Amino acid sequence: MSWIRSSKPLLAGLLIVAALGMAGTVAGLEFADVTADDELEVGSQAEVEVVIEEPFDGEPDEYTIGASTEFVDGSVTITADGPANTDSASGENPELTVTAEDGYDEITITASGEVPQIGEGGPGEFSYEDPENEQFTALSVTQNNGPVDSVAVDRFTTESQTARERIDEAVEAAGEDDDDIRAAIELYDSGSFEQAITQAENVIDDAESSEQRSQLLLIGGGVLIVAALIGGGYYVYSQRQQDTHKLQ
Amino acid sequence: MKLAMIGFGQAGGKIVDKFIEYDKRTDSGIVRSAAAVNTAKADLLGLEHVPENNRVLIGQARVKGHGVGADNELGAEIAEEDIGEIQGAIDSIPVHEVDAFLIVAGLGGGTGSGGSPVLAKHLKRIYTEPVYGLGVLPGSDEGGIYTLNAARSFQTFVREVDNLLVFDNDAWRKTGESVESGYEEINDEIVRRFGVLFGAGEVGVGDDVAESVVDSSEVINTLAGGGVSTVGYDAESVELGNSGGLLSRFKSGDDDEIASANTTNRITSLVRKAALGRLTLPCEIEGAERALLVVSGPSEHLNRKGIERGRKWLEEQTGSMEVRGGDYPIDEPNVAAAVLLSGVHNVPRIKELQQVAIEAQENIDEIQEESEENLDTLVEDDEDELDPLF
Repeated sequence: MSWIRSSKPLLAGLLIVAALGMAGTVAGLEFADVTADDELEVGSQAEVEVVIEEPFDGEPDEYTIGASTEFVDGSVTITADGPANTDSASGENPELTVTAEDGYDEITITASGEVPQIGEGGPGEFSYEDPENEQFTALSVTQNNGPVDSVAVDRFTTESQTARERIDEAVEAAGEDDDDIRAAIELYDSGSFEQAITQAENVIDDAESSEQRSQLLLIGGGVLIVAALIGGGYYVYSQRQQDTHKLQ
Repeated sequence: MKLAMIGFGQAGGKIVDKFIEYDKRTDSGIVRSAAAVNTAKADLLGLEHVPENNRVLIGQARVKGHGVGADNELGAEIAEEDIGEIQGAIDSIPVHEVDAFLIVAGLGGGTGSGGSPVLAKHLKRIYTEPVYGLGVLPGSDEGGIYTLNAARSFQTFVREVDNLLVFDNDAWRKTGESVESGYEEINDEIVRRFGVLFGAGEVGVGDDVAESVVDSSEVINTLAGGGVSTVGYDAESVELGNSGGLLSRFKSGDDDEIASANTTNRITSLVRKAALGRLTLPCEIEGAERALLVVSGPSEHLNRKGIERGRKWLEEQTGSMEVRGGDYPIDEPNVAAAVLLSGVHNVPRIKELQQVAIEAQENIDEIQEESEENLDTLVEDDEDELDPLF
């Protein structure tokens, strides 16, 4: 084994560790509270809000906090709040510089707008197996242009939700390895939801009918066993009843 | 003892049918092969256990399958003519496996009464195995013609067979029976008696083996002298003893002695009742040439002493020294004694039967003689003035 080949994953690992370490020192801010829906429908109006408490605890005395969003026609508002002062900035990508002297004890950042399309010009893409790919970044916060944290929210369209539910049912009924289900998932990933729904429903129907068949077989088998038991019982009974005595 | 049974006529067919049923039910192994012969198709169709291939309809050219109507001369004629057809059914019997033939027939009717002596004669000519007859006598209230038939058939049948076992319906008729249930019960009696007698030597794997086995040769030797035989039988229920039980170990030996005495007494009393009261053909047993005693039941209820005493008693009563005996252990809660008396002579019932038959014969002849004269008197006018048409 050559050293060059094996060094590649090692190098990548070292870089990741370094990046995490830097992020740890630069972005010490944390979201104390996040208000956002678990998932949002594409095209709907929505709002997310995060709260940063004790903004100077272990942080520099002065820094600039920035925020951005992937909402269509989105607007972001950063509000710093303290017992004595309040300051805010808003816009598509607002920035607000805060100092410890102002005595802010809470920074609230709100983003709102229209949930963007999945793919077709919007962020992300449809993927049945990796739902993260369907998420969008509703709010991303920076501190001195370094990333702090972001809020990603799942998205769906009416069709994609129905298709996902149908595929879920189909997987439950026939298992993930089924070829027809793979086809349905591919159709889903390519955005052909109607076809994906049809495909998944076919799988469900097949599974149900085979389940019904096996149920019928089971019932038939049960009936046979019961009949055999009754018949056997009667045979034994009649044998017992029959007089096999030779003498009297 | 393995038998080839041939039921001749309606009663014969039914009894053979019953024999097969008894054989299957009790696993006795006495019926090796069975056939039924009749001139009436309906009677053959009514059988349940006789194999279809062995049901022979004879005399179709003469009576078209409708029976001979109690005319046993016609029955004998037809049997003679169609003996080849009967032989066809007998050909399928593996004769080397059977110990004897048994022809079963009611003697009062037509087909069996007339045909069975013919068949007996035929079988004796061809085979070396003994040919026995089992003849059923009609009840005395069944009518003159049946009595006449029986008397004539009896005479011939006894002559043609190696031994004729007789069952008298008259001795077994009870009042208030329906025809069907009456015959059914009588047939059951016949089958049980002869079943025990002939089944005694047939021991299957796992059965108890008798101390003194009644083999088929014992039966054959008892029947060997020819003539007429009757069978007595009586049975009694007993409790199947539980040999286990802890307490039984502590019982004193006295109990065993008492039990043994009871067993002996039970057997001797059964033998007496069988020989004196319950014979298939009631007769005076004194003068019977040979006898065979089979005592059957659970082995703990059989003992040599009882059987020996029973045998000795039979010797005294019959006056014959040729009394054989043995046991037949069966695992069921009954003890039974079967007595075969062979070569009986003093049978009042046969004499009575013959007397009635003679009267019937005379009556028939008389009426036949007068018949023409009477008809003439009826048809012709007094002065003979009328002329017939042509």
